[in-house]
Amino acid sequence: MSQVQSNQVAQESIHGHEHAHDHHDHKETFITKYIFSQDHKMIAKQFLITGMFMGLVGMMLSLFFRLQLGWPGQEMPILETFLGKWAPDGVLDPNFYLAAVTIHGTILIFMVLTAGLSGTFSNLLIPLQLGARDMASPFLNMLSYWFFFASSAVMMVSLFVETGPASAGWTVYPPLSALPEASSGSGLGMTLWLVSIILFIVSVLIGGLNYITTVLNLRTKGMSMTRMPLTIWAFLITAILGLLSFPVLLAAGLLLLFDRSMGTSFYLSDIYISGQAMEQTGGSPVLYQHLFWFLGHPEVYIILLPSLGITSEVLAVNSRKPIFGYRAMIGSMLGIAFLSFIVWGHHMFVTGMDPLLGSVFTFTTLLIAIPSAIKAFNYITTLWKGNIVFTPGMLFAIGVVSLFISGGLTGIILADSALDVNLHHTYFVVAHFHLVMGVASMFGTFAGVYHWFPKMFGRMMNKKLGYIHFWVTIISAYGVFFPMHYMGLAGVPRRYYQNFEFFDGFADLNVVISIFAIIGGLVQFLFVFNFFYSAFRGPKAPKNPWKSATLEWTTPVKGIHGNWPGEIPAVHRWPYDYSVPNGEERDFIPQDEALSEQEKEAKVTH
Amino acid sequence: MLMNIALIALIVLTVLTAARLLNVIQAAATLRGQKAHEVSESDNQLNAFIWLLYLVGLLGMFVYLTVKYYNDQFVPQAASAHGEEVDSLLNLNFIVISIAFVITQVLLIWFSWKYRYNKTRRATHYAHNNNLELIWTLVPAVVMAVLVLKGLIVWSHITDDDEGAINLELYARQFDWSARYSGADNALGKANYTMINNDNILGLLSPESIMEQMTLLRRDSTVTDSSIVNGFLPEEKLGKEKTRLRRIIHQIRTIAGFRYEYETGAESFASTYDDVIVRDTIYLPVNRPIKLTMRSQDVIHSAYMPHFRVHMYCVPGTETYFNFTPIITSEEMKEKLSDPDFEYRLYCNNICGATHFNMMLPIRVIDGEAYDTWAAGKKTFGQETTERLAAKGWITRFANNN
Ligand code: HEM
Ligand SMILES: [Cu+2]
Ligand SMILES: [Cu+2]
Repeated sequence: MSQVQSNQVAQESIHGHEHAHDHHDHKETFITKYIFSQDHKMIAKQFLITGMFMGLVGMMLSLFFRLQLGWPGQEMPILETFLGKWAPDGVLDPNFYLAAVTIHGTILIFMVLTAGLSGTFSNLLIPLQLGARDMASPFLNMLSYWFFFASSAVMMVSLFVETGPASAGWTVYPPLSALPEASSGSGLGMTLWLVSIILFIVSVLIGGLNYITTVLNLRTKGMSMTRMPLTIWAFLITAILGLLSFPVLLAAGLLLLFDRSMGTSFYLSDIYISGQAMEQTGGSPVLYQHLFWFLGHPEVYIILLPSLGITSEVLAVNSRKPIFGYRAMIGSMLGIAFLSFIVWGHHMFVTGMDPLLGSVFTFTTLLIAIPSAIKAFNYITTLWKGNIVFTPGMLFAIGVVSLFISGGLTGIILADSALDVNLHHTYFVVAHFHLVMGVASMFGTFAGVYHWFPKMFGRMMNKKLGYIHFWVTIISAYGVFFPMHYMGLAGVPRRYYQNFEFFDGFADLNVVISIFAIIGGLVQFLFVFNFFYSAFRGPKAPKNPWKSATLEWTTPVKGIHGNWPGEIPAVHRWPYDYSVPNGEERDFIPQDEALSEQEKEAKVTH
Repeated sequence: MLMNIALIALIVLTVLTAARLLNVIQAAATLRGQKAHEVSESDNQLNAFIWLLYLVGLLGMFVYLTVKYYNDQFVPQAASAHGEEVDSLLNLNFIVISIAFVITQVLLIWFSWKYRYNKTRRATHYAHNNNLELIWTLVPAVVMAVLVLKGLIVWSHITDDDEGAINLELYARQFDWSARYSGADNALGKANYTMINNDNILGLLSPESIMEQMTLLRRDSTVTDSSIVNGFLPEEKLGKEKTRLRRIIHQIRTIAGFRYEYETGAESFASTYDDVIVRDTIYLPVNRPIKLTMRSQDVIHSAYMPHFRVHMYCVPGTETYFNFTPIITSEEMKEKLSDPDFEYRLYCNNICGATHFNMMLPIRVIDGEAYDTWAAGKKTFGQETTERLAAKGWITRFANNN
């Protein structure tokens, strides 16, 4: 109790501070309001729009290489229009193919689904759902965005350098990524890639510290940890994962930078290239992989957990039911988070690692299946006997569960070292991670955008366009990635510019996949259109359009600095009081509503 | 240029028209009293119905693709001793996840459809049930335990050493493969990357190759040195030449060490003499265990032989290993698949540069006798070196030096 009180004091002091600010609020210029804003709601929008832009770039790159894979070697003038010298006569250059794959992966993983997703929704929802005036440090928050912006800008610049962007795969394994002699993309392009990622890590760390601090310290009165919406739990755990794992990537990247420019040999040993034997000996390329995947595996949960958190919230609201097994959901997220730090070796079964170590990683990885299964079953049970409203956000949330299951199950196969031998680096892996991580998180992001758009812009997005967007996207997503499993089972390697006659049997399938990819890509422009149109011209939103119980819907439709005009509401119950059998007409009770006499008697203790 | 402007104009026009259209539609909807945030009865029905179609489509696609592509025509037939074991493990996993897939997708979509919004109903407030949650913790746990156990057993078989295996090396570089047979002594002779030159791609160490490399490097260093000393080089080239000289000196030092070992009798470097290097087609004897040793010259490559269920990175600076036994000859496989052009293949399966996709070697599995005959007909590394040096007229000079 005393802690809650002291939080309250902290809140009020911020509140007071806000009043001091009010005086120069009206002097706010375009620059302080839209560019160097310190308001968490504006920063959220900045993250979202930057992420959307990067997402479109990443998607375009995937369409370029899908064109090549679907119709290998065919002249396509459109490629030359876009890529110039990288597609002479309209045929994609093999170097640029690899560069496109690399930058596509990097952008989608880091810029879109790490920054774009966490940055948007952690910023938007942590203060609003917890009842805080803003983030613990609005200034650091702004800094976090601008580091992200710089990082994205450097990545974009790297697309235009003479020798081409980084092209060693998004995992940039040395020595390939360390030696400009080994690949043209390992020249200036690779340096820029590293610079961009280092800026990115700074952004993630600053942002994450801020999220954690805010969640721990700025909860409104009555908002105990176990009354937080699952979105907030997800963002909190995600931020902790990032804080613990990104520094390791920073170390890996710095050592790589040293190997590239200062003649050190952390990762280099006994290399003969371009007719010369390099002096470096004693380093280990596999060391890099350990460091990289120590981040890399938690990273997939950094991408996925926020989406799952959003899904929990959207599913509950639109089923008009509490999320099933609230505590089990928190527990399984914590379990997944912990385990994600001790499974990285499943990416390295065939690196020559000791077989015993392989066994250990198989064991720990398969353990993750258990909390994941709990989550899936709890989602399904949340729908059971609900009263489901199919808002576009809800469709995407159900889509997340479907994709999470489809993609997650194949992980059971890949986790088995004996089976991974033959599937490692095949299209089976591409199929697996796109479904479970790529598309599932993308869907979580969409669910969040459709659901909280009214909160961000005070207007509603067009539903019908949302429906078309959803159905076309999910069908294309399955159309692209489901068949890839079978190519992988047949042993088709990934990161191949073209497949041999040996894999001829898949020629038509490759065409089908590419067509789905093009359709799925184009329909995203419908979303972009809907987004910007609705932001300016959409119908005005009511205060609580989805009849949701959480605190963000108690703020004014037009967001204000400090979020609540008067006092911050106190919280009296958990966030999932939907369809409580209390004889009322209304099927939800907002979190800030005091317990009724009836409830007090029944000692409801949620 | 004109094309581009026209294209941009077209896009802008389309967007503007679409915006206009949406404006009208939304205004009309408002007039009809529809609220933008409320999902209409018909929208709920429609989406619920599409979910059903979706379920049928998803399961249909799963069955169709599995029948069409998960069969011997597409999945490489297991042609190694551990391959069949791996396949039955894969099938077990496949069945388990297929069951889980169907059950969960059906429940998810069926519930979404069945419990679609109905004004007259109220959702059931059902927040948790410890027994249910216990069930779906324990069932996956038990299933996982079985799968882990089975998996680890197969894994231990795969990674076991086979007695009396033939030693064979796969050597990768941008962008081709070499295979080295260990010859009569069944031992792969020593190699070092400083020994690499155009005629000795694998950098094998033998007394002759050491002397040859030393001679070549001395000559190189003199050329490089004088080009530096002469001072006619532009700044940028000068830096490169200096690096080159430093590298050559490092090489000479390393090799001097080997020469010292040889001269003091600490090491004979004779084990490479009978090694045989092959760069076009790999021949393997059927039913004899093989121990692969993998090395790389430059970046990480990966030796992937899908039919043999073999896959291992080739990492510069270190050696990696994989044991397997081919059990079906190429001829038998041709008959089995009724494909006269069938070949086993070795692919590179770790991104290694521009033509990574093209780094491939055919493999032929033949019976033991044919293999022995084939092996006996190959020139050894020792013979190749001697002949080459003789052609250059160098052997006699070394002999005189001694
Ligand atoms: C428009 C939808 C998408 C299409 C058509 C697509 C297609 C592909 C394909 C075919 C590859 C493999 C290329 C190869 O290995 O040769 C690939 C790689 C990859 N994709 Fe996507 N993808 C899409 C969306 C996404 C999303 C949403 C993510 C987010 C996580 C993502 C992350 C990646 C990553 C990390 C790689 C690996 C890059 C590498 O090999 O280094 N993709 N994509
Ligand atoms: Cu992982
Ligand atoms: Cu290679």
